Amino acid sequence: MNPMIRKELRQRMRERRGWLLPSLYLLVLGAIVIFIYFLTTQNPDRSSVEGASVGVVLFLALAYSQLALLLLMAPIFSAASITIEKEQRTLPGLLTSLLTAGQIWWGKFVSSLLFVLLLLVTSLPVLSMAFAFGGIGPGKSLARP
Amino acid sequence: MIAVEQIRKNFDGTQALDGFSLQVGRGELFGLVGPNGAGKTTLMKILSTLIPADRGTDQVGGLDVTAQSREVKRLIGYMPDQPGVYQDMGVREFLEFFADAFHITGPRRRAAVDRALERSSLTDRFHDSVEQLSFGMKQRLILAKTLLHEPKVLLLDEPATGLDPIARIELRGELKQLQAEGITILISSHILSDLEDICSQIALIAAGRNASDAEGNSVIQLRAPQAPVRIYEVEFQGDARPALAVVNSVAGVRLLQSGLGRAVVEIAGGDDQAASLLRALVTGGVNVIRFDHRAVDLEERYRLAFGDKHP
Repeated sequence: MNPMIRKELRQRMRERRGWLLPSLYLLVLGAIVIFIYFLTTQNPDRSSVEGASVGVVLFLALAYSQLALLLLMAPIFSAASITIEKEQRTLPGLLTSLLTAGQIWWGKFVSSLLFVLLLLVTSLPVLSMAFAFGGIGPGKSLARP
Repeated sequence: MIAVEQIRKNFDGTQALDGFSLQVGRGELFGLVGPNGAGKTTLMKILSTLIPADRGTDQVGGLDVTAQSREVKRLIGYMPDQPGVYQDMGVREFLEFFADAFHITGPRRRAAVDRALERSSLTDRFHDSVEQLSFGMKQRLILAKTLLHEPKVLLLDEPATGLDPIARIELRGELKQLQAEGITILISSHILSDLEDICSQIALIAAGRNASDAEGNSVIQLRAPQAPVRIYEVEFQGDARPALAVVNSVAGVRLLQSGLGRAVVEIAGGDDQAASLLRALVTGGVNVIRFDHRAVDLEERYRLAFGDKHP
């Protein structure tokens, strides 16, 4: 295993943002769920609102919100981790080791992706709320964007 | 072991190195001295494969630094000025990471890390985080990390900066020990007394070029046999011109420096030649109040070479 991946993952999980970021991410997703729920149920004729349509709207809103958030976050993570090496003056130590520049970059990139994957996994309980309303199931959700 | 010939490096119009040359033999502890901005760090970065030279030849252990950088990395250990550490790592974890980065695996990895901990006297602190170490301990840890892969050449850029006197003494001892083990060391430092204590030779660099001391040496031999040239300091009263005229008229005497009521001269030969100069000064009507032989230390040589070159 590339030593950079192991180092990056360990360091990332030790940092405060290792738990703060997933918590904030879940809070944002939770806020989106509440917002979408009230938006879809703000119908004067409440009897016409079906749980299934709420579920579909919730799922789509969460899926697109996550896509947008993660597309923004992933490059920030990997770019920041190279900058941090420069700031804390540890980059020369890495570059004069037998690690290639490609291995250093790959290690940072993969660890960033794994952290993004962690965010996705932590969001599963929020996403499952959409299933509770009906209209969308695990099988269907894979087929949808 | 290190061969640099007419090396040049330009940074956006600033000529950091401008034809500097250097030869360091195997097993030598070689110093590099010059004012700030002279090009010492640039040279170290080039030799450590961090940046390429624009022109010139740079070799370590017979390998071309630019073309064979990977092989050179196996050969060298580089300690930059202001080296960084991963503060949130454990001491042992820090060393293990760099052992992995140098592809040291299996039982060799454990042995290398244990040896590094012992070398840095941090065996009993291996559970601590790097953040908890003092500055001197961190420097020892970085030096130990630099030695993990058993390099044949050490490139140390200002390794003693910020260390307290005890830590500096320990570092000097460590470097002498490494030299005794056959490691070639190129060290740059502004702490001249340290270099004088440990180095066999010292190269002078200024404005990216080889510089010379007042005696015209671009490389100062510190462990060489007593040179047949001796330095005398002469102090006198009154006008300097007659004194300087006498100094310039005596064969084998060269004026190195002159100031108000003071001259530093180089005398080729023994005491007889010095006596001749003194006699000539007195008979020439110069009121000599001091005529002193002294060994010019590195600090004085530095002052004579770079005294008026403070950027």
